[in-house]
Amino acid sequence: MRPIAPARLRTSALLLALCAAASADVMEDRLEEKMQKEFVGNAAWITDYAAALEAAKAGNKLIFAYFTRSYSP
Amino acid sequence: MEGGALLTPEFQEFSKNHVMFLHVTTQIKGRKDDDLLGKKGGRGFPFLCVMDDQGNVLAQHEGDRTAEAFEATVGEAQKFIDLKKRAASGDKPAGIDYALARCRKGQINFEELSKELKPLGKLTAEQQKAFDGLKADDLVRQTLDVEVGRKFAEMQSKGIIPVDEEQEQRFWEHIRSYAETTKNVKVFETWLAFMKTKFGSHPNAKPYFEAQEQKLAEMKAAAGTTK
Repeated sequence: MRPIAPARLRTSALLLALCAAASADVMEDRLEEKMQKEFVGNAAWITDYAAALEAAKAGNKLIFAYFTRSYSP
Repeated sequence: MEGGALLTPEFQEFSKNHVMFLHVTTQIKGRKDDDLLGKKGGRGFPFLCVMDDQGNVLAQHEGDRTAEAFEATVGEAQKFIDLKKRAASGDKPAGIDYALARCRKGQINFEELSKELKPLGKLTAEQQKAFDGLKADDLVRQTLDVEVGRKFAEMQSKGIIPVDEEQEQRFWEHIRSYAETTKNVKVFETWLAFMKTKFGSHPNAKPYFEAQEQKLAEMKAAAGTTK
């Protein structure tokens, strides 16, 4: 299989983002569904970035970050 | 992963020792930090990394998605912090390793690495090997960003533009990359004008183009021109 050039990936990411238009209500619903998943309850996740930095500072700990999405499965 | 590794008792135990940050990209317009993934160097999902309390990415997680593997990535991040401390204390070999590690992570470019290494003395064979590898990376990047981009920018200025959509995308992306790398304001403006013509009317494109306009303003300021 031909490898995909990073340049193409960047452009494609923009195009995908532009094409992924959906109503705000649908996006809010999808976020809610995501946050109800079982894994969310298995750790004390902090979902606010600034709060995570504060917690790391206060506890002198490192941050383990998991980036995921709700707009698409 | 959400139905497996993140549900295990081992992961629960792992989570107790660290600050656990869950970021969900929603594509909800105006949502705070929705673009954080890109700012942290993520190019796809899932993206896992370890950060310090300033938000600096110390290690990206790759490979197995198990609590044990996550702990190893945290260990890697901790080693990076320790290396930084040793380098700051004047340990020259550690200073070399620290500079090499920062270049590998993209925190400094190859030119900056070369400058930093100068006062730190002779490299060990292992360090030299790492340096040579980074030099090769830089050469590939330079060739793609500068040489290919320059050629495409020349083509564009003569009105020679691909008709195949895929080739057109690649063509313009190399031009953008060339403009950014060489800080060529005129070429960047040309690229931006093309992108606006093609995608500017899309409602989701506004934040993207605002960011590009900001980049253009910074390039102009650096070049000492406001035109």
